[in-house]
Amino acid sequence: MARALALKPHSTEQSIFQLRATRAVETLLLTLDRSSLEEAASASTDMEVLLVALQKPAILGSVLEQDPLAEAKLRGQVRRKQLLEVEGGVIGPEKFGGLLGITRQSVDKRRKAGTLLALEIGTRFAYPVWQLEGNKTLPHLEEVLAALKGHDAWRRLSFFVNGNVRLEGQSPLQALRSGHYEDVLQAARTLGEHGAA
Amino acid sequence: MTISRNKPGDLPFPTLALHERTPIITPLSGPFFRIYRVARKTPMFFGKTLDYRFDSSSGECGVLYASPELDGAFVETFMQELGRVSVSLNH
Repeated sequence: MARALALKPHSTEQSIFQLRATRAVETLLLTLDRSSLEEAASASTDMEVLLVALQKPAILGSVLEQDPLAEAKLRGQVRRKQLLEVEGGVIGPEKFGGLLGITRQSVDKRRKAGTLLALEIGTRFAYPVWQLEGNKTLPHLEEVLAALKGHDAWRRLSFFVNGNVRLEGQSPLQALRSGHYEDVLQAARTLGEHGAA
Repeated sequence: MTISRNKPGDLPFPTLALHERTPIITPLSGPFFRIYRVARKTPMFFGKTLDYRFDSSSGECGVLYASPELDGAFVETFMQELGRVSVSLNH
């Protein structure tokens, strides 16, 4: 809290954001009952405190009046968080490079070339750990990522870790680990295409 | 762990009297829904990729997948990665 109060806005945009965000937090404090506040306050990160609070019915009703898609957007944020946490979670480029035995710059280079998957979180990139097998990348990762070109990073992440009809319910990640590269490649090629599996 | 659905193995030859049979053709009237990638610029895509269930086995003719219901089009496009092909109407 002390850190937040100590932050002085440096631009008009920052001032407006701080004012409105603070007002929104005050509304949450005045609207939510004690047990809802307790549940939200026990979340593991500050951002999650807000996510939990915004999903409470007392708040959601008024938010939905302003934006009918608000609930779906909140669910999307929660789902993104879950996607980041599966199969060992994500790490920064320095640590990822360290495990691969390459520099951070080389990791960035591979990300830009599309041969590594990274999610942009704020001003940083986060690399899913499951892309590694020991000190190498997962077999055929590059080919599958190439087949997923055109899909954004979140969609590619979702593809790898979710069960897939074309793989009899296995996730592409599981299928790659068990050597079913061709099947995964076909699933990747058909992602987002209207067709019968 | 095996994945077998896309590899049915050697199939038996069709009956010798196949040429005597009349193909089943069901006329339908639209509208039909098809969800397509913006990059394709048009929903008209008669695929010959052999990646889909009803594609021509030789790739000789293209097949366009569409649905008389928007919900159907949505499911056939986006449910692949959720590991299921059906969804409750409540969702």
